[in-house]
Amino acid sequence: MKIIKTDELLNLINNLGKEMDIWAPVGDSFERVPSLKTVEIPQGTTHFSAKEIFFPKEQTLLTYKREDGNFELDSVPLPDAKGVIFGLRSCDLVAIAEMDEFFTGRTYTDVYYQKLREGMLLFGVACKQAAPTCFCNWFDPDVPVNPGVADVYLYPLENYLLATSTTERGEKMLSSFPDADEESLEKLERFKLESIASLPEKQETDGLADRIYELFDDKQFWQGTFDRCLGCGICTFVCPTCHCFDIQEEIINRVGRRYRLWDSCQFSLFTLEASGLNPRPTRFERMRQRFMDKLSYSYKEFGKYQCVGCGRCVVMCPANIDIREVIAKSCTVSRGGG
Amino acid sequence: MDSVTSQIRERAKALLSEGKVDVVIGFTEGTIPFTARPVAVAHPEEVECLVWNRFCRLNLASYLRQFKDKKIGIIAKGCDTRSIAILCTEQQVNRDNIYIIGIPCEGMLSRKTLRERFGDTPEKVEIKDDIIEVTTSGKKESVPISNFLDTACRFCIHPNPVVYDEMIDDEVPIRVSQEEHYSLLREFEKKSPDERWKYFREEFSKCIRCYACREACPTCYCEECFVDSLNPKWIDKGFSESDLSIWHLTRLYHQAGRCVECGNCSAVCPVGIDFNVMTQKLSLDALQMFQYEAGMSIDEKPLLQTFKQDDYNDFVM
Amino acid sequence: MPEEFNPKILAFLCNWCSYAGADLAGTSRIQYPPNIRVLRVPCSGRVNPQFLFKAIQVGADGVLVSGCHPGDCHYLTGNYFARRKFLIAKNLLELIGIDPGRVQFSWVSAAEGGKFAEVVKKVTDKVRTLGPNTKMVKKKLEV
Ligand code: SF4
Ligand code: SF4
Ligand code: SF4
Ligand code: SF4
Ligand code: FES
Repeated sequence: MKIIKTDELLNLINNLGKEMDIWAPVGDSFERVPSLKTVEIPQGTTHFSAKEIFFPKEQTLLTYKREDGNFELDSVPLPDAKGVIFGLRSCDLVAIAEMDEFFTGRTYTDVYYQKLREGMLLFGVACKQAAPTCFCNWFDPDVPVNPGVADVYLYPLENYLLATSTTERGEKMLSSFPDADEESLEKLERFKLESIASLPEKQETDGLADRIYELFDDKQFWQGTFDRCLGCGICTFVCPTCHCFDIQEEIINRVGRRYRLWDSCQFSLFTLEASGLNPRPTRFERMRQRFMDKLSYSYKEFGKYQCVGCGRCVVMCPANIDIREVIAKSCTVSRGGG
Repeated sequence: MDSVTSQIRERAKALLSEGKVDVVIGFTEGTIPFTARPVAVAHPEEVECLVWNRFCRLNLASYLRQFKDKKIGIIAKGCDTRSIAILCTEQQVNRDNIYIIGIPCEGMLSRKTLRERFGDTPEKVEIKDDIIEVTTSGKKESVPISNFLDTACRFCIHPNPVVYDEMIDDEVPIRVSQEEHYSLLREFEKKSPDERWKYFREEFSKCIRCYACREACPTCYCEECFVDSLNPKWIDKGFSESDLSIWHLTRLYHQAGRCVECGNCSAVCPVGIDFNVMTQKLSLDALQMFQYEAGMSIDEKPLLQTFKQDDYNDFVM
Repeated sequence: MPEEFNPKILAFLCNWCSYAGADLAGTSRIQYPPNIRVLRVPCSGRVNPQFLFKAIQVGADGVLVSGCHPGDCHYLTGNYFARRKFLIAKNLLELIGIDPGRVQFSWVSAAEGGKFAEVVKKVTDKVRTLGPNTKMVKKKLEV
């Protein structure tokens, strides 16, 4: 654990900024900024997550030319960006770890993602005070103070910060700073306790995956929740772990490209088959799919929930569909022997 | 308890117990500030959850089609009733299966504007007559409600239910004149074409293509939207300024004579694109050129499904 | 001197009238500007406003839709419906900043070769004074 003063941290990041982009929370989302002016970030999360930096909402995969009915591959534009992302919350870091696993950790490595991800230095900031819509602790009580995959992870104490790192490159950046003294470490312990205490009462998530799985056919359970879903894709677009994409072609004046863009399981086209059959024909099946995937399938397949408790969909859903209620309701249903 | 709320509950209970309707679509308290959430109540004992307040922003007509096979009771503001009328005219729902409980509307508050001012999650929100009291980090502020009226509501000329089976409470006075109704548009039209394009290209380029505007719009109900069609492929799905403009232009065009200026599309847009100028334009064109107002009765033919021989012709060479 | 701007204008011509009118202009050797690219359609009512948007997108500096005179539509009412749609689409385009001179409509019968040439001349002149269209265009892929 290192001690770092506010202006030292600003210098560190702004120096990095001479060679790379600086991203920081600005208003609703993470934006490129010319320089970092403050290390204070708003409570809770931005409306949009940082996933767009590694997983752009539109990305060209290859380009081609069309001559006399033939297609000729033109280029494979691998992205190349370097940046430092400041102000990630711990839930964002958990989400990035999940994205990493999805895009690069399993059978297939997605080079487009990998290139962008590797170019980014992650600066996480521990939560002093959770926002009322935060519920990261439901999945793991220590999240709000957990460095996760951050290169540098910061604990903002009163007038300076403590910093730690989980990667080699992060360690290097911190090497010149002094180690934390006893007093700071004590303060850190208090900070952590306060942070964790600022979160809402934990809902039981042991066995959640099975509980939700069993509720698949229980219309009664979903009623009241699904009646409201408009089927817009906002929840999936703001979610830091939603990673589904669609691949499209576009040709203009004989120059074409293949590109991918964000897709959403809330769209009817998502599951529409060439035969015309749609296995998730209505908003109800699609709404249920999101919860099944986040809270059950992902856990059963890969041992992780695909919800990190950041509360973004809770805040952004125009119809006020609240995933916290789904989790809470699933507890009472099974406790009541239903 | 507010008297409208109690009357709604009473009426919903009666309708459900008499078996007149299978379900009542209305609003209930939300789980986050500045929000009332839509709810479908199916049992008389559940009616206690229904509420009426200044956050009942959504146009509930958007939910009608999914209850098609049921007898539906619906709590409806002025704009909701007009959308319902259109859905009936367009034979998406059957008027005989719908029982409309009309509510004169004093104007709903914009969650977006409130959030910009007070943050997403203040500790406490209370409305006392025309004042909204919001407590953030222990500090209470009282601000006139009118500062937070949704843009669509600010310019609304039909706050009172237009088509209904019964009405709760007395009609409210109309807040703007026909002319004031279009003031956003009038102001905007003073700009030069280049300035207008600059404005719209910036607005449109914020779009993330979540299609929430479409999903929330009560009259955007196509089984296959043009933007999703692959054969023919009308439009590319990328983020070029051109495709984004054409997406919004076409969607709005499809609302000609059907848009009731409820403002749902602008209200749900997660990046805050404001469609109100465009919807005012649609409305003004329909009114001025064709003496037509969307959703004022269920017997009138939709604007673009009919014509008059002496329709305005001066723009044709 | 910069090169003179030669606008590209896409013309949707109804098969039963304006298209024949264009033919007549040709066979009667009535001169009109060579700036139009003609697309024959079965009726002005066939022209979906989306076509207008698309034309502008792929680089037309102007669009012309021409059909039978009111009352003369081969399908009786196609042009009446079209007239309502066009007016609304045109006004929306104007609202977002696309000059109304770039999207024009005319009624030209099969017998009106002269009028057809006149219309094309008017539209071309107008678009020429407006200059190349840069709004809403997607000529090249943005990679
Ligand atoms: S969900 Fe947890 S980690 Fe995320 S902002 Fe809230 S308290 Fe912090
Ligand atoms: S849950 Fe909410 S945000 Fe998600 S699709 Fe449904 S209405 Fe939209
Ligand atoms: S276009 Fe927008 S304002 Fe018009 S009816 Fe649809 S949601 Fe309402
Ligand atoms: S935008 Fe047009 S095609 Fe798409 S749902 Fe709305 S009305 Fe239908
Ligand atoms: S046939 Fe010519 S306009 Fe209809």
